[in-house]
Amino acid sequence: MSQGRIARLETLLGRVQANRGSRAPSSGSEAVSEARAPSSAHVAPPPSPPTPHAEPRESSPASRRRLLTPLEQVIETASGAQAPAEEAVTTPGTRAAPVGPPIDDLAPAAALIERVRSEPEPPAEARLEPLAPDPVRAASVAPPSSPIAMASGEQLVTGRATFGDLLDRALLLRPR
Amino acid sequence: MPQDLTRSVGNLYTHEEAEVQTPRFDPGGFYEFNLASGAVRTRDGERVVVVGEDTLSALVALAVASGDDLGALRALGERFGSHTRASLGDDPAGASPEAVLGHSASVLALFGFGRVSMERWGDAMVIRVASSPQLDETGAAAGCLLSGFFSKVSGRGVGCIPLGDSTFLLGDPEIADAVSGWAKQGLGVGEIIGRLAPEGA
Repeated sequence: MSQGRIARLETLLGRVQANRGSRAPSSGSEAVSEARAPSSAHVAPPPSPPTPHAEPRESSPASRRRLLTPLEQVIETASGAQAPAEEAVTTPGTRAAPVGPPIDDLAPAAALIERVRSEPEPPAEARLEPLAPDPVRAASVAPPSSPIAMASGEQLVTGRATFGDLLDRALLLRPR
Repeated sequence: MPQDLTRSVGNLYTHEEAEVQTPRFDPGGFYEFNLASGAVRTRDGERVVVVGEDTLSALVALAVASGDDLGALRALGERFGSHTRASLGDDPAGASPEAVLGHSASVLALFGFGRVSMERWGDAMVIRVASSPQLDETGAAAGCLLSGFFSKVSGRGVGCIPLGDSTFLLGDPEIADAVSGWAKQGLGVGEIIGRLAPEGA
């Protein structure tokens, strides 16, 4: 997915650079149409909600790729491109109007794309590593032959069970 | 079928489990050193004697070798349990496991018997003691002490059965012989617990 996004960004960046010399509005009517252009046409689709208990660490390459979403918006705005879902409402023959300040220098964006592209893909387990384990879920899915909670001092995780509850269950154990 | 939309009185209240506010363990002033009288007392007035680990280990090893029932160690554990109950300030059975374990570990650490932690293996509870004094090789002495300790804390008959490596199974004293036998066969914690099941299951 990230490779596809990078490729798309590169395409957009090339389009921006190709269109930089011919971006000046040719008529006043176009300027009016720009003012009436719905801003929502340039809003990138919202990022998918994070998977519970599987947020990547903020310092990982995956999170830096996530930063490309606003960058993608900027480049789309500068190039006049639209998100695929919004292209259906665009009148044929007209190009979506850019919204926002003009981009004078896209060199930092290009450098960022190149840097992200050169970084190796993190392993799947690194991307899915949770910030903190969910003790309740861990306790419910752990096999019975392994410890489901470990404690030292006041770190024991037992949900809402009292000490008496745990002791009751422990004292009921008998040889099979 | 018509739906009853009448708001009942009970719905006006939200039922939330009351958080039991267990006081934190305060180690400050636990010991009182009276140099004039040459006595050391705990804050509840019990007189204690500071002895070296080697001395205590030798005495315990002698008791184990002679086949004593290690009643003195169990009584010592019960004294530690009394301190824990006093610091908890309430019935430990209704307290959170974290609170009971925190106070238990603090009391045992103050008396120099290592750092206690607890693990749950399904329904089983396993006690581990790190940096504990080497009372005897079999762990029987430490098991006696911890049995007295947790029996006093919980107010029930609890056995701490040695599994090796300063690890103990907290359970009914009736299963002590079977569990000890498995441990002597070299079975690991997981294997031993795998041979246990709730009564009637």
